[in-house]
Amino acid sequence: MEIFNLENLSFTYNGSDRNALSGINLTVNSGDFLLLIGESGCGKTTLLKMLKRELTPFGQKSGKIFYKGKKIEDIESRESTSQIGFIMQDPDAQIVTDKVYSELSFGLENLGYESRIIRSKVSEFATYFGLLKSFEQNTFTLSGGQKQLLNLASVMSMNPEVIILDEPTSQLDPISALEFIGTLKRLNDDFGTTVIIAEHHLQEIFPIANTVAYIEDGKLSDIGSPREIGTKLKGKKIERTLPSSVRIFNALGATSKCPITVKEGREFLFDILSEDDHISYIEPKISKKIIECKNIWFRYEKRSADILKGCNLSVNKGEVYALLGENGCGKSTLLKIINASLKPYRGKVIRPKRVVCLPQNPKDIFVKDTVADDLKTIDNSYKELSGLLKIDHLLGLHPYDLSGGELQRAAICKILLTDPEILLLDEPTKGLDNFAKSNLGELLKTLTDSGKTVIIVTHDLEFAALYANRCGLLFDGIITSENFTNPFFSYNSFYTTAVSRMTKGIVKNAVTVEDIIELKRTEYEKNS
Amino acid sequence: MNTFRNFHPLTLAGYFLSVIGISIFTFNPIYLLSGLFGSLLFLITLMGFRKMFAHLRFYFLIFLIVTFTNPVFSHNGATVLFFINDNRVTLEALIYGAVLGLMITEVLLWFKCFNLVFDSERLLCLFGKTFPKLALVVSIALGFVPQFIRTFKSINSTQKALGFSKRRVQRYLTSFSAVITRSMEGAIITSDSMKCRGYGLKNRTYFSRFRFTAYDVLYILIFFVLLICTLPALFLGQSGVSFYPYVKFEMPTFFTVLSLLSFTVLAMIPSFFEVKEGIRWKYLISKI
Amino acid sequence: MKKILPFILLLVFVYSGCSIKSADDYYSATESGEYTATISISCKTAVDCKNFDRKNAEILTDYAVGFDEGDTVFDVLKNACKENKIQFEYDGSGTSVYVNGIDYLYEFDCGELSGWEYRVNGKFQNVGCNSCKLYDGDKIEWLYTCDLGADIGNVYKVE
Repeated sequence: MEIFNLENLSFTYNGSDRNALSGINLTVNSGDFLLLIGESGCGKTTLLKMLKRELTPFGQKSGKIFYKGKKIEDIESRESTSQIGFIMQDPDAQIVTDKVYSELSFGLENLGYESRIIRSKVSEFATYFGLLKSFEQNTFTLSGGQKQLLNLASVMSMNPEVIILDEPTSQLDPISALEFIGTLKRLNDDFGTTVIIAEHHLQEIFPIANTVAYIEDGKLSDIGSPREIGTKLKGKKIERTLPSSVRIFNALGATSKCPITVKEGREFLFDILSEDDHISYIEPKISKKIIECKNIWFRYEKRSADILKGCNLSVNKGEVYALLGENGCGKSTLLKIINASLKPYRGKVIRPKRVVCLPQNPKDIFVKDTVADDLKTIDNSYKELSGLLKIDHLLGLHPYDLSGGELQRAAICKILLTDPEILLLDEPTKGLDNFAKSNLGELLKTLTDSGKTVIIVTHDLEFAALYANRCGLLFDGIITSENFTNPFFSYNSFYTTAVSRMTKGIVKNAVTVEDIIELKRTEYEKNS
Repeated sequence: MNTFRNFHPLTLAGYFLSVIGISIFTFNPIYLLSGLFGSLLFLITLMGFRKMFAHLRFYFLIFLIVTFTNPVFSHNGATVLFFINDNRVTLEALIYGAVLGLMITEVLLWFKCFNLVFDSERLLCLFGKTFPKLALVVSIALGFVPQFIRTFKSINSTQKALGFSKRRVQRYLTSFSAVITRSMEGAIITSDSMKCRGYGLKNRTYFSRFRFTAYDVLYILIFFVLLICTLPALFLGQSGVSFYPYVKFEMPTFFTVLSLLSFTVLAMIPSFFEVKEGIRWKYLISKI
Repeated sequence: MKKILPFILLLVFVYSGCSIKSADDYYSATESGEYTATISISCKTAVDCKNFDRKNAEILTDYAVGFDEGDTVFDVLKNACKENKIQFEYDGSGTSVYVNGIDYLYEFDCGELSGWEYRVNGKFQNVGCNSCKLYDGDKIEWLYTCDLGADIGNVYKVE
């Protein structure tokens, strides 16, 4: 059955002369799992909002949108509310009420259901989503991942035909994101709920989708199965967001079946790699230590459990050190200790004077009406640095109007004005698209080249593999494994990059897509 | 386990209204003592022995202050303890103060119990049916405040670390205005999220987790009967005590005895309920 | 204990500058003066009052009290009560003293309009009892009213 049918849909925002969407023809069938991909600002969000009548932005629209054969303007508001669910990026701001159960019942209350019916529906969904334990809790006590699951559950409690999701996992850590996407797949499999989702991070979701639509400059550029789209996007800028296996496949110019999962990627690599292939790895030189934490013990309250249990950490001058680990393992706590905003009850920290921390939400850095005003609060001579960081065109804007990547660069600019020797970044890749991520990575390299030292706390293994010099895994209050990035990831079996998992037992020291491409390129060039 | 707090909020509200109401309008130390005893037992079941004793220090202090303040300002009473200038400090005034202190302490303790039992969702449940919009606004506000505070703390500490302004007040104000801006941004998303889920459709209902069961009916009836038995003596003035010039109790009548007994039972119900269910639970466990 | 400390300090403050005496010491001290006044205290109206149980109407009858130059009606009442061990209570200080109750009989005991009033030589005075100076041989009467003075002959006249 047809759920959505878009006929030649175009849209222009009021006050803009550029088409946000132009001439989109798209059919979504019941039970589809449609993935929208495209760079930031390509019109994905606009397209999703057009499908939810309540959110349709103001502007010039042409073409038609049909929902189950009816024009979307003509369907009843009750039907539109309950049958089309919409989930946004920000897990916090979407939550309306103070208690988990009242959040779950919010939509049903609006639809005017009796208490008896609401009770049975809510209990059903709380059970399905595993929210039973937190049922009576206050919503603000939930973690980001739980909040986003709650948002999904409270939309699902209205029993929608289709759920539309706009980058729902961008604010979540990878483990919560995986759980969220897993739940989506389960809903799609178990109930045939149609899913339309826009995402940036594609490694996990790409193989799950049954249709992928690539949107470029407001046009539907390509649509097809993940395998088809994977090969069609070869050479485009968007390609680097695709799963590692697809990128390797494209880069090597292979023509067989495009591998979209790690498993398929492994099979593919088995065929093309031989035992002679190896990636040489030279251990880099170590410069002098700049930070040393010795035997750090920390707990938040007198009677609470220890968060850090004799943790040792040393960071060398001019390196990017990635501190990895699960949620709540004490990464941020250790960062605060290095930052001297927390004091350990035992242990010693040797550190230079000027250490600054970029908080998880870079918005915390800004308190003025324009970026320039904010920079002035630190130092009036910010021009040189803002040029270096390429934020000159943003100086006159309100900080909250910047995109995630721009905001982060501006924030880094502000903290660099305090001339720190050491930069601490807490989850710097959260909410960034791949383009912004690689910009950030390059920026970190520039910083360390100029003698700064950077410590990042992150969940993002791919980012750490690409840009960190050394990595450490914090577990149970101590750093359990620590090494240079390449051996760190190639030694780990589970907590490692997709490429490392793909090449386990096939070729050593392969951690990033570039490692494999480099290896095979020399071979191709040798042969030809 | 079915504890007292699991009653429907309406039942609970009825109960606390009766007990606190009677306590405020009686000035008979025997009533007050039995009410005090009931509230203390209930507090023990609610927060445990040790924690309650930690709290009691505060209430005891209030009791002492009221007790010793009264004779300073009231010089009535026949039994003179001593004179201050030309004013007598009397035993009767001290006793009156003690009874007043007892009453205030008892009412405060019942309010403490009320606070522990009656959280925001129970409060919302009471008027949610009649004012579903108001209930929603309160619920949104309750969810919003902790988030606001958290954002404020994180912005403020970041600004502090960045060395923004030596003066604390200025930093607080700047951080505060930044939180406001941030919250407004969030509010736009929240309102979108509300619209998406059908806010603004006609006939909004209100859902509360609490169910009004036969148990509630039974207990409301019990409360009502006890209340009816308590009140006549109070209205007829037969439960009165006069303190000046001598402390004098009225002769007990049938109504006084009935009233006192009913009130004592009423005050003991919550703790009785908790203890009974505790024992029953242990009994059921032992049978397994 | 830190919480109780301010309370103790407050008590010390309240009681400081006060002379504290036992009941015996207070009542055994006698006053004398160069002039004399007579004082009567009566609460006949309270005895007649239906809602109030009071037997003794004449608390003090024509009792002679000594006083000094500049003493007031209040001083004489105080001394008379002291010598006869009669309880009384007042509010205020300086010239604005208000007598709340005498011999356990208080204002409002017989309704909203009840309280103590006084007259000197048969005339109700329009000033507070600690502003009304006395002369030798003055006759003071403290009368309890249940009706804002109407029942004891103190009718407010519009001039």
